[in-house]
Amino acid sequence: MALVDLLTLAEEKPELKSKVYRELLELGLSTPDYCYLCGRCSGGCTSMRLLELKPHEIAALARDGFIEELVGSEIIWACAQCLQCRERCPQGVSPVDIILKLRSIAVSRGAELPEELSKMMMSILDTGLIQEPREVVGRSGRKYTREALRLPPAPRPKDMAAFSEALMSTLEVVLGGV
Amino acid sequence: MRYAYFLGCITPLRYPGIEAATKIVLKELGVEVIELNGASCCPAPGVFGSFDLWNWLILAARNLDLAEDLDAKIVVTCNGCYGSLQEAHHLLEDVVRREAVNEVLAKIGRRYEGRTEVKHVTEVLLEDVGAEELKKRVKKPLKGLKVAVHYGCHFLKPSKIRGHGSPEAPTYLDELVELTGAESIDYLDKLMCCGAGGGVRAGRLDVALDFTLEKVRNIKRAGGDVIVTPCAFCHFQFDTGQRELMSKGLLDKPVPVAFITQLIGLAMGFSPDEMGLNDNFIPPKYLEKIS
Ligand code: SF4
Ligand code: SF4
Repeated sequence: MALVDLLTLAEEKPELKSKVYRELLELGLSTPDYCYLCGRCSGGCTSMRLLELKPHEIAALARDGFIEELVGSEIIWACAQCLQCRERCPQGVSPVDIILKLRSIAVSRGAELPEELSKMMMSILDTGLIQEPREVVGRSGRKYTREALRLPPAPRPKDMAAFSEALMSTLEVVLGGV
Repeated sequence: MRYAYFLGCITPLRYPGIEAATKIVLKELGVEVIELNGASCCPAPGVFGSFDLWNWLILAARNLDLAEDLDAKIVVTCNGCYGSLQEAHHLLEDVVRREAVNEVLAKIGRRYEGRTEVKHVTEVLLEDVGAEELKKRVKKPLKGLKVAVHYGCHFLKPSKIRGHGSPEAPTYLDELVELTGAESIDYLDKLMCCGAGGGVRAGRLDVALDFTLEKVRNIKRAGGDVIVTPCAFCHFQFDTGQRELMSKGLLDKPVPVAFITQLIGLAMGFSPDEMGLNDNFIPPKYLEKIS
């Protein structure tokens, strides 16, 4: 279902909207209230070229309180985070940061993250890094390992378990508030 | 000039050639590079930012603190790491935010005071070493090589924090590339994203590859011999991505990829093997043109 169709079903949720606003302000950004729909953001949006993402629409819908509808829409996962909208906005609104906020609300609701994305996230919390090292076999059959390049073994953080625990405790606070 | 090299994930785990080249080149130019032991993922803006921005900031703060402990500035070779760490550094200049983050860091015995700086390796090359000196160090000018520079989004934006001039018409990297004697070419939609960012590569590979294909087509049309990036993640997307495009039958002839320090090392006289150029999936065919 397209976003516009969803609007007819929408119901305003003021608490959710103020939560998003508060967090944007905490990052030093303008709230969507400052958006005057000039469209400069969408004019440069990477994902609008191939997908239907229109950052000005996201800002306007957030301003009008349709957070639920946005959170449930797949479109928020299409943003390539190219930062063009943040760069171009004459009003200091950052649609990309609104999108990230919407994504985290979706995640906290138990929405399914794209599989690869959640694997990477778990890997970071687990080992500190996004993935395991790979071995590259070149065209000549030679292995291009870190050793072959005379590099030390891949670094790993040692206090990740304790750190993840500390992060998790703040996460509960964050998620509990949604 | 003392820098702690923040490797991130893609550089050491997938493209160690970038790490090797960067260390060799910086050392040769008299820049002291130390390891940033214990560093975690920056964390990746698209992956972790989608999850929770507050935790993204705390993870980044721990990495910044590791460098602060060493009394060193940070150098990076990935626009994702650059974006995350520089932005976090910027946000943590605010005392209230910093104290909130420090409350969590205290649980692992850390405290960040905001005393490090985050530099991209190209800034170290152009601003610390300097264009004059770099020019002098070129032993094998890459004459006749047509380079397609791909800046990557987070290298330029937000321009207020990055400070590399206009994000709509930048020249920063083109100037650096031309110091090697190569020509930096113009091509259609030069500033378009590689397609990998924001978790799009992880979540919607087909879409990410569409972007990459369009960029590669434009580069080929303009006669580019090699794509040069300042970002390990864009490098990954162009190198691995073109292989994926080929295996889907969507691309016939790929354009090889080189990281900026690999190209500079080559011009300084280091061998392609030392620069890890054979570590890429796409064979470095352009070498025939300059040997
Ligand atoms: S950051 Fe996302 S929404 Fe903003 S311009 Fe880029 S792709 Fe579009
Ligand atoms: S650029 Fe800013 S003010 Fe203009 S439409 Fe986009 S968010 Fe609204």
